[in-house]
This record gives sequence, structure tokens and C-alpha cells, in this order.
Amino acid sequence: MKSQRSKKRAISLGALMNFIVAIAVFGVGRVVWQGVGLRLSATGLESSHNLPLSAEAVPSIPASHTLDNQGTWIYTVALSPEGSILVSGGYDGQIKWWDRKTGSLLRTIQGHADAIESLAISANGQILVTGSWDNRIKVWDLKTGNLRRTLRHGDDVKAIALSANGKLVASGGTNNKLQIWSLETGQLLHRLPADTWIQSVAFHPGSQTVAYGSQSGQIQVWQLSQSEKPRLLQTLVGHQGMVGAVAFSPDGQTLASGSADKTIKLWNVDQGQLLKGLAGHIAPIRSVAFSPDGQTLATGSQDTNVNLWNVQTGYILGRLNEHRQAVWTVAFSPDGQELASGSSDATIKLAAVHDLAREAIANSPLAHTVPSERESDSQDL
Amino acid sequence: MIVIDSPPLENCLGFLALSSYVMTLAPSISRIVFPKYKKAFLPKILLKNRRLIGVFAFLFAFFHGWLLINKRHIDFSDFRTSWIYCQGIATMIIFTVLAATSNDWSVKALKKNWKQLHRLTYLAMFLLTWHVWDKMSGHWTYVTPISMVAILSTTALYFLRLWYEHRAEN
Ligand code: HEM
Repeated sequence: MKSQRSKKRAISLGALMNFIVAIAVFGVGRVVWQGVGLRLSATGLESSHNLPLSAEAVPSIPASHTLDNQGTWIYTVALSPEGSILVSGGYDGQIKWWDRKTGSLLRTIQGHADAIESLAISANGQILVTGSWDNRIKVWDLKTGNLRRTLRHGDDVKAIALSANGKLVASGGTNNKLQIWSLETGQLLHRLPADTWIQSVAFHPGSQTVAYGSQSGQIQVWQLSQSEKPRLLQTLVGHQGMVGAVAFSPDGQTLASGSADKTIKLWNVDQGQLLKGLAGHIAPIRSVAFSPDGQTLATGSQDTNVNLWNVQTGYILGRLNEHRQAVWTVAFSPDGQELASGSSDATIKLAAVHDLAREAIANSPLAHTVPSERESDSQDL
Repeated sequence: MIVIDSPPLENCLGFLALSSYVMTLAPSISRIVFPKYKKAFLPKILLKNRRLIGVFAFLFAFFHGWLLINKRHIDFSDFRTSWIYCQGIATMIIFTVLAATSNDWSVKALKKNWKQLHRLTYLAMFLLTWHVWDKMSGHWTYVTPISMVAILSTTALYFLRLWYEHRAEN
């Protein structure tokens, strides 16, 4: 009787274990398969129906400088407002100062105990803010590299942004909260709820408006004010995957978003309307940046490419295809002449883009505008 | 100043996995190191449910790894990933093999090799010490010191056990 019972127990335990192992093998297999699939498509071995034009049809942009980050994945770069310094952050938690002209490494600081996924430089060029998976936001003196303040976010910090007047820091991450801090006092001013992880944050260039993109594909735009509670202005729905990047155009009228659904969308901020959907990447988009004149948009993707787009027409102007791994970050120099991109291939590439962009517009515009299936989903709240 | 953080869900799962794993090792080590307590309630219960606790360790570790793969953009197509997460991945493989063979059928099928195979569990001890130290250095959560103490004292007792066994043989 007893042995029968223990036999029964053993059988059910065995079945349970085999079930669990099957799930595990399936799960791990899926992740590996996704990785391999991405590799194939990124190297052009797999034909993709998402990319309507062959790679040769798009003018390629050569890199003028390659900065070597010694084998460490780069997640974020920013340029100082006068354009001479490039700051980078990556997997090892080090912050690096580079000379943009010569490409030489000027300073290295072990800024965080874990990866730095996001950093920002204030408009006056004095402050550098870094956000890390060690749950900290650190405020640095950009010139000296001295630590000014440490803010505790709560969980992994995935995105940070500085307001145009340099008074506020917005941080988002895996604690599902958009946190607004006073840069001067280090005080936490607001904690705004998000539906899930926050993957990207951007401040409006002229007002106290802040936008974030979340894991679920939602974008929210909030109005901050000194005297009142923050007010939700828009919820932009349309992306079908995590929104890895958001950026306001320099005139503040347009918001660009890049998503794991492989598309970039341009939104009218005031009306909360979708203006354009851009398709030309074959993997999730991780970064977007407007050129200082607002005419060009740069996008970096896990497909290893950086695309340059004409914002007005939605045409692809050129492609930097020299990275060997996912591109996590792109940034224009303040004069709009150069584009910096950072990648998991442990390099930062600097490419001259200004002239090329003009030429490309004059020569052969390639239409890539793809209307989104869910255009009507963009909601005005 | 040392500041300690609250552990998010995925870290709690890692902690639970480690705790369950330590519980699977505890009875066999304590039998030799503390023979007086061989018949005590806790070691007996742990020994009896050893396989089940092992499966729980695997389950917790699986969800821990799964959540962190998403949270940290872990890209398996990049060979550096395998190096950076090698301790976690190796432990996960060991847990998977052990969980898959933790049934009577496997014991019968593998015969003597089953015991050899299940010795792999001791390797996980070192891998896990390395994993927690490597991944949590500089930003400990409340559970990190508990994990460190648990895994290091288990390792120390394991060496003590080896020493006792060695002495007994001679
Ligand atoms: C695919 C396999 C694995 C991956 C990718 C992985 C990844 C990680 C990462 C990234 C961390 C750091 C979390 C943080 O910074 O907050 C971590 C911590 C940890 N992991 Fe794993 N891990 C894996 C497998 C395992 C296994 C098998 C165990 C279990 C027994 C384990 C136990 C732990 C523990 C105890 C911590 C420390 C949590 C804390 O102190 O807060 N991990 N793991």
C-alpha cells in the first residue's frame, strides 16, 4: 500500500519535472533562436520582408573615427554643448570622457557598481547625470569629474533626462515609476505611475513637459509644474512593442519614438496624433535623436545599423552599417556635423553626416514611409 | 557609506533558489559533520524531500534567470554574454540536468552514473558564490549578505565533511 503510494508520488513528481524541463528547454531555445535569427537578418543572410529596399540602395555613411571601449558594451553616449567632449557609459559602470576631435580617451571614472544605461549632459555643460542598474543616479561635475550627489532610484535605472533649464532630472526604470528630482537639492519631487518598466525618457526642449516610453509600447506625456500636481497630457498608443527610445524635436512640436516593433513613429505632441510611421530597421529600435536643426532623425537599432531619415519626407538618407552588434545609442554633435553611435560591439563611431544628408536629399530620395496599421489608435486624452 | 537596497522580485527568486539549493545539501553534509543530529526532525524532513526541494531550486532559478534575461537585455548571440553570465548559466545547466534526472526512472536507467551525475551539485556551490559576488558587488540588497553567509558556510562545512571522510578512510 505504502509502496504503491510512493510509486504514484514518484510518477507524478517525474511528470511534473519533465514538464518543467520541457518549458525550460523551450524557453532557452526560444531566446537562443531569437538571437540567431537576429544575427542572420542583421548580416543579410536572411531575406527580410520588412526591408523593402536592398542594402545597396541606401547610401552608406562611413565612420570617420572609431573609439575603442576595450571590449565593453556601450549603452549610452552624450556630447557636451560646445561639442568638444563625448561622454560614454556601458556595461562595466565606467564613465569615459573622450576628445571628440582626436578620439583620445581623456578620463575614466568607475562611476557605478553596475552598467550605466543612460546619461545626460546639462544644457550649460556643467553637469553630467548618469543612471545605472545599481539603482543609483549620480550627478557629476562634467569639467572635473567630481561626484556632486547620489540619488537612489529604487531599482534598475534605464532612462534619464535633464530638463532644458537644468533644474529637473527625470528617471525611469524597472520600478514602474517615472521619478522627477530637483537637481539642485536632490529632492524627489514626483513619482508618476507607469503601467510597466520605463525604457525611455525625454524632456521637452522648451517647457516642463516630459515623455516616457514603456515596456508595453505605451508613451505618456506629462506636464510638470512647480505649484500643481503633474498632469497627464497624452497617452500615445500605436507601438506594438517596447518603446526603447523617445526624443522631442528641437522645436518641441514632434515626438519621435522607436520601438521593439521595429518602427519609428513621429507624433504631434499637442494633439497626440500620429504623423508618420517609418520602417527600415529589421530589429528593435533602441535610440532616436533629432539633429539640432530638426530636419534629420537618427535611429539606432539592434539590427546593428544606424539610419538617418529626412523628417519631412520620411525618406532614408543614409545608413551607417559598420557596427557589428546592436546599436544602443545615437547622438548628434551640437553643430549637427557629426553623429556618434555606441554599440554592443564595444565601439563608438563618429560619422560626418551633415553634407551627406544634404546630398542625399538632392539626389535620390527613397520612400520608406509606411502608414501604421493602428494609426487610428493614437488617442488624445 | 554602505547603503543596502530592497531586493526586487527577480533577486528574491535568485535568493529562494539559492536557499532551496543549500537545503538540498544540508542533510548530507550535516550527517557527517554533525552526526549527533542525524535523526533530528529537520535533517530528516530535508532528506526525505530532497528531490522536491531540488526541483523548487530549479524552478526559482529558472524564473530568476528568465526575468533577468529580459531586464538586462541579455543577448545570447553575443559570445561575451556567455562569459559575463557564465556562472549563472552553468549553474542553470546543472540544475536543469539534475531536475530532469530527479525521478526513479532516471535513477534506474543511469544506475551507477546517476550518483556521479548528481555530484555535479557540489560544483554549483562554487559557481554560486562567484555568481552572487560578481553580480552584486557594490550594490547589495537585504538578501545578499544572507545568501553569502549561507553559501560560504555550506562550502566550509562541505570541506569539513571531505576532511572527516578523508580521516575516516585513513
Ligand atoms: C541563466 C542564468 C542566470 C542569469 C542570467 C542570472 C543573472 C543574475 C544577475 C544579472 C544578477 C544580479 C541582479 C542585480 O544586479 O540586482 C543575479 C543575482 C543573483 N542570482 Fe542569478 N542568474 C542566473 C542563474 C542563477 C541561478 C541558477 C541561481 C541560483 C541558485 C542564481 C542566484 C542568484 C542570487 C542569489 C543572486 C543575488 C540576489 C541578491 O543578492 O539580491 N542565479 N543573477
